[in-house]
Amino acid sequence: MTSTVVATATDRRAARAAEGRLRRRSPRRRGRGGLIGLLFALPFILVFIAFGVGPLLASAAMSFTDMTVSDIRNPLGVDVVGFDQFAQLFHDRLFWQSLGVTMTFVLLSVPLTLAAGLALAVVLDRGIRRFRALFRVGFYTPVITSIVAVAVVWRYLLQPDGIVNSALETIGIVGPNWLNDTRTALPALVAMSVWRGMGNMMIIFLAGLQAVPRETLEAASVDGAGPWRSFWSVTLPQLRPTMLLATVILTIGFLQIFEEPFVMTGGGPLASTTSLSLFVYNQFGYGKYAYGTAAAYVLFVIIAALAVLQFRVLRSKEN
Amino acid sequence: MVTSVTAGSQHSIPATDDGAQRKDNGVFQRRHTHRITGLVTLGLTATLVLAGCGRADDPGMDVEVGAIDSTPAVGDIEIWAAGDFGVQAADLFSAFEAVNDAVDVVVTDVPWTEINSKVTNAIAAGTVPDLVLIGDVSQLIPTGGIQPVPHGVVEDGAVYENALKRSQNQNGVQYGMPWYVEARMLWYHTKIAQAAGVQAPTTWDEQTAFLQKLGEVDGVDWAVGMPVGHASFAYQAIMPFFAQAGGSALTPDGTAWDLGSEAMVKALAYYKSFFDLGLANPDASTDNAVQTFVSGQVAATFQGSYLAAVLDQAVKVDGFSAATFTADVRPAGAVNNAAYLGGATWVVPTGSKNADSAWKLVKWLQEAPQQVSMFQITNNLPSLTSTWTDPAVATDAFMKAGIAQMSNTVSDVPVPTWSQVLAVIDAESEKVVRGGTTPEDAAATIQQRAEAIGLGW
Repeated sequence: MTSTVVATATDRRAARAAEGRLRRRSPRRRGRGGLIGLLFALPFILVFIAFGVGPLLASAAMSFTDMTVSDIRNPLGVDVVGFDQFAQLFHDRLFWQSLGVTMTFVLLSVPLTLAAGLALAVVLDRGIRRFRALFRVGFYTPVITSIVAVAVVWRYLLQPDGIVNSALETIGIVGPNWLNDTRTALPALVAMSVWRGMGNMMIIFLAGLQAVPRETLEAASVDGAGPWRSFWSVTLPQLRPTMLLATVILTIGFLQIFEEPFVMTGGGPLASTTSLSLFVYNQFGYGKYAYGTAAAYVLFVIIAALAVLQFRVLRSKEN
Repeated sequence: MVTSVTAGSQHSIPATDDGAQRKDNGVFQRRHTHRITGLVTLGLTATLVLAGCGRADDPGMDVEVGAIDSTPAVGDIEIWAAGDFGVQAADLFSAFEAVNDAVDVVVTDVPWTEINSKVTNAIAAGTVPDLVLIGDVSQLIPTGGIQPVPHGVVEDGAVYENALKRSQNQNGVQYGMPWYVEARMLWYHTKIAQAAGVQAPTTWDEQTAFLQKLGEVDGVDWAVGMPVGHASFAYQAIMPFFAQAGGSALTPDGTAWDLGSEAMVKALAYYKSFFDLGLANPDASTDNAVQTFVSGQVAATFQGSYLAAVLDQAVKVDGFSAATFTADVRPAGAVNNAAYLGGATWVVPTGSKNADSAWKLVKWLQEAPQQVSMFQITNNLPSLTSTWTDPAVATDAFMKAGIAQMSNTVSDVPVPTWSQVLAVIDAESEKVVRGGTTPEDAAATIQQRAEAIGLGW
């Protein structure tokens, strides 16, 4: 305990010294340095404004109008309807269903992916000595495969007479119709997303685990803590910033889940796997641009709110 | 400000800590001001943009229909073709270039699933090609992004009427020229039918009995393939049954939906019976629909004449003849035996730089010799009805049924909101099969939702 506080105090002193050095530079040189830096960054800033901020503002404005596909040749020739689109959205049964599906999916996938990634990272960090690189590559490969190819293959695997059910039959379980049963379709997608996402989490947690100082763990084992206790009380609190990063990334990604339901189930059966992103996609397909944009911004607000919540809960106490 | 210090570092930090805190507050206030300024600027910009919006009073869809003359086509013609027929028909376009020296035709194939969004994007950006081969035209008409067909492209009555209706607006103005058409017929394995000892059915009841007998033959898992749900386009199975029972999607004056009638209830009930009687697999995937039909696991299917080309490829090993598969006109419901009509239509976008030559190319393609060539290359039934008696087309083994079926077809409803309404039909019919909804409730829900969606004109 003492060693970490001392380390932090030393860091603070060093940081303050560096700040002092910076303040002592002449203001004019700092101003010119700033201008040159700005010039270097200008190309990126312009491109970002044109292709990032511009469309963002345009779509936000669009969600307050009644624009449909008929207006594409004259986008300003639409009526401003205020919050009508949002009001209509909240009366839409399909919107609420897709919101429920998305939240269920996130609530199931995020903890499972985190746990799987953490377990893999712990095992690879301390447990496996040989072929560690091979295991890392093997577990990371699902992350970099094409989602469409993966989804198509999984769709074949999960057919009623597919490999998964055949394997279950050998141990005497009659497998359900995974992708056509409303009770198992979403869990099947959760399982696939966990499988795909845990490699990413494994890499992040591996990096986080490297930063846990060995001395602390040795001190804990000297004090008589077993492996589980030292993991729970020493390693996990050290992993708080990593956990925050991983959770926020995962939540933002999973709240926008689209390709898995799109390719594997098309949103069915009976809309039980239609995520909010798929709902927005369908609205754009019907030409209801303003309506779809409104739904997309509701999703944006939810993502932002959840990210803020996670920052508050998982923020490092030493800040 | 959090100060998690212990006794060890307390004596050296506090003074600097307060100083740091004051400095942090200053920085924070500066950032705070910047943030507020930024937000206000954004808000002002957004308000200014929105203030510039507003619908002009609609002068009505007053459409000017032009005409083409007999001078030859000139210049570059850029074509986007849905499916892969552009590449297949390259020889046809080369022949047009040979007849018109000053013309250069460039064809790009676009997948069916992408063509509508690609064209919509091009209309919005103003980067439209000269000619597009597309399926769903109705959604594009209200954008003003496609031109009406000028006079002189085809003679009146030469092209199949039902196909022409697919690309008309609510006032009957023609916006596209159908190139080829196809209707979904009943296909089945000839040998399996012989083994079951059944004849081709002509009524709904006969069809059920026919399929039941087919399903009992050894080696057959399912009697017929039926789509379920939105991913499988179930509406393409429902709408023919609906029409066969006497239903019509729109009221006679074409101003409102009429999807909740008794005909829809009958259609949904008949559709449900296929699954209740174990004739069709409710969990079948469209991925292997053709494969399972070819292998004989599924004895019958409803597909268009395009299946002939697909079967040809798939059964190359075993050889393929009219004896292996039979295509038949659909059995009739209470009123008729309408089949689902598909096909592709030529449209010319507004703002095309060479619209005149594009329409001249379409006129040339619609002439009988070119339509027959198109059939021979792509195996799709031409939209020009006079070719249906041409020996090259009519003697084809599967075209006989395809041509006979043309006397009764039902197509996509030509209104801009059809893609939304068909999704409702898909969803409700899926509930009938999987969710335990009764056909009466489903029909009522379909009508209710369709009314809320409207026609879109």
